[in-house]
Amino acid sequence: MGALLVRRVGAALPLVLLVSVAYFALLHALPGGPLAAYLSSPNVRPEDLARLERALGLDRPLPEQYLRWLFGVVRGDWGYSFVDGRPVFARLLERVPATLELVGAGLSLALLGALPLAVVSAERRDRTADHAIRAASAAGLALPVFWTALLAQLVFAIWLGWLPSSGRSGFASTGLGGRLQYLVLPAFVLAISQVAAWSRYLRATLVGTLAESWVTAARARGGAPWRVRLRHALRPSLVPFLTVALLDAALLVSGAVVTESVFAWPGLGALFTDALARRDYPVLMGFLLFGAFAVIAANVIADVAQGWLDPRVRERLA
Amino acid sequence: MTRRGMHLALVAFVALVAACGGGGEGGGRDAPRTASGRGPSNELLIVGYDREPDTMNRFATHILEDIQTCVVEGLTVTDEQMRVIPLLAETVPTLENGLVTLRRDGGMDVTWKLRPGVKWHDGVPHTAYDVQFTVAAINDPKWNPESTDGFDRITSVDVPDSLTAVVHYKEVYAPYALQFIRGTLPKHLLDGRDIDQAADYNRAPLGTGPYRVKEWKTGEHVLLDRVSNYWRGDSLPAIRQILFKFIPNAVTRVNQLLAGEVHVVALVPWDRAAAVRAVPGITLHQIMGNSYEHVTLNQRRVTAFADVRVRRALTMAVDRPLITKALLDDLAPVIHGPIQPLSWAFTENVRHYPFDVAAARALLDSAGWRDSDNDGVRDNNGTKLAFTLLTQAGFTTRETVAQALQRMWKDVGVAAEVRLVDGTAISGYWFRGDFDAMLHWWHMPADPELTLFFAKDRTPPAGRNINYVSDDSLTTLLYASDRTVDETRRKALLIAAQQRIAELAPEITLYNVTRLDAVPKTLQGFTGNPTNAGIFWNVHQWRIAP
Repeated sequence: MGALLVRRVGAALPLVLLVSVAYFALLHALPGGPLAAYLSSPNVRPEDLARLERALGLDRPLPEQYLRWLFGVVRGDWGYSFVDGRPVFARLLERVPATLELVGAGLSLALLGALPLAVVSAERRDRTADHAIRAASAAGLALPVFWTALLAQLVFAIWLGWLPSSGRSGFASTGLGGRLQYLVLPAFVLAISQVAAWSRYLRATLVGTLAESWVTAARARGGAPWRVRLRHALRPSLVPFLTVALLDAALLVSGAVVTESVFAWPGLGALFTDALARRDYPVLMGFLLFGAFAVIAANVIADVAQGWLDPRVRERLA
Repeated sequence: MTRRGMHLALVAFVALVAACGGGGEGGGRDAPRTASGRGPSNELLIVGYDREPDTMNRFATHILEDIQTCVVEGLTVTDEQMRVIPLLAETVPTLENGLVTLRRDGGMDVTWKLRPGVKWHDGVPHTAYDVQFTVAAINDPKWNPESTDGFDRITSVDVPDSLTAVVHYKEVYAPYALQFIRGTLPKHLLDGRDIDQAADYNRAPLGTGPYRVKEWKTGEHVLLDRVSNYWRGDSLPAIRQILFKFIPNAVTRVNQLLAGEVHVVALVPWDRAAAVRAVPGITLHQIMGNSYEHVTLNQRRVTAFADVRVRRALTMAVDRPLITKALLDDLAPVIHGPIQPLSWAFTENVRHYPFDVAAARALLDSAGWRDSDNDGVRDNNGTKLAFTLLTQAGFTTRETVAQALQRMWKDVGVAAEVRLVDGTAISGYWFRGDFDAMLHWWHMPADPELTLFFAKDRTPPAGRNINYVSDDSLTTLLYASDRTVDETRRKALLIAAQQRIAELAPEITLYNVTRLDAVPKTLQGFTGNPTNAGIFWNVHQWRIAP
């Protein structure tokens, strides 16, 4: 496991470095810039702009700005946010619990939904149930998240008044029940598109697996139908699915941007939207590193989990 | 897919669309039912706020200071009529009351008499030494406040006694009364410290105001708690806690209002006004703003705009009453210049350009712009009268108005192409002068200074003259007004400047940016405020009626 982690990080480093250069260049190519917000304030004079530019180091040549950032990161210093002057790492870290809570809940729901739907859909291939599930998942994929999110707010918070429309908690200590209330809508909205995508992916894999000779053999041996489906067909199908699911999770952890923004959920995605709008370069660069680590971690977990599910992979990794 | 499968999908889709489509008006039909909401009370008022502050330090923040004004008070404040009134000062210094004196060397001295008995929240008295320290801190290059405007003209501050600060300016500075509108810094807390790094102060500043910051939960909210020994008296403020919830999405903000989860939403978007009006228990408070929507015509970029006849024709081609009536539900009054009606320097007595298509066409003809090739667009020596109108994407009202302008100009043979740019990016374009025409607004300062926007030497980066208007007589008037402290004389200069601007028609002024704030019907003492002081300027007077 340790060796695997070292190998993965080693392999990813050159890529992260390359991407960071491109990302840095792109960020600085965006029109606007961190001082854009100051421009429309009538109190801010040109002298103030020049002073703030110097203070943020924005008056230096771009390559120098990049190298300063890079050397900082190597030393473990991710820089300071242009917006509130606090350390970037701290700003990212404080958002992690909220995002893990949301993504964890959302993806668990998605998994709970996607598994049975995929099994039913593959089992009843080209029959009514399959068509209905595929149509629903196509709709789930096609509906933009912000639309589903606003619709959910409208129905469950405004019309029915069952759930709070947004936020992560009331300010008074509301206990676990209260906290869960706030989680329900964003988690479901996040789950919807994932259920759609995952059930389709898993269905396709299952359809292939169900046609394999070992499944036929298991059936011929008289195995109970659901045991055959779960143990002989679903388990091998989960191996490729797991990689996809974990990578999705990694991407979401580095920003369930739309869901978090609409639901005012104080996670990484909301921070990203805010940082992008204010062109907070250090925080945005921090996101790049965070995302890279999340993807690497997801890959390692996927490798380990694959080994657990598939003895052949385990042998190869050992 | 089988026919039955398709039917199922279709039914599901139609049901979803119907559910969503019915939503626009539905929210307000019944009283809000809510999972977590409770009505506003003198115990707790919840505000849906559009963004998280960068810092609570009033001098360093670059967004509106709503939350900060509840905690940190200025020596003066601007009220709902934009009048400067004393707050921690006993009176506003003027020439008449002898607290402002002009020196022979061209400088001026302003004497601030502080209100006695005011204490910081930690019990330490608020004194003139705090005023002196504030000036020193802002002028110290080690700290980075948002603006040093005015402070950089102060040579020194004398403190003859603990409640008197005499501020010496090296030149006459007309907006001196607003110099300490953002308050003062507590010397006993911050002296000798690096203020950029003073996280305790920047996250929960020590103030003299009716509230203190109890909790700032990053990404979620700021909770303010009433102070027990407010200088106006122990009975104030009436509301015990104010919770500012950060809700960046405008639709979500209004949804929270509909669901009863927030009680106040400042700056309601105009296109949500009807939905908010329908919410039971909520009043949509409307007040004239200090910003004006207009089309900037970049004379440096589009040579046709350098001709005053073209600028006037483009103005007369626009049916402003129709725009405000049809597109803005009469929310925004048509205005004719950059100083807004609430300002003491405003004059209505300037040249107006009524909607007159025939006159606009005649003006363009006389300027040599005719449609020689009958393609519907005027031309002159092979150049088409065509330009790009830049405006902000995602701002529904503005996108619609841009399209209306495009249509109206087309009627007089002018081709405008609308280009939408995101909000952060747009300032980069205007700052570089990299646009033809732009539909936008300026938030004007509470002081009616126009120099920054119209003096010929204040083009970027030295200012915001992005019309690139270059007029000697206007520039002279503007600089003279900056160096006049006598309000009557200054007003005369600013009126002459407004009249000159109207003659020049450097930009097409459209309408005043009305401020809409949603507040509970039971909230007493609320007045609104068009300036950066924000609606919380008199929060100590707010009370929820039983």
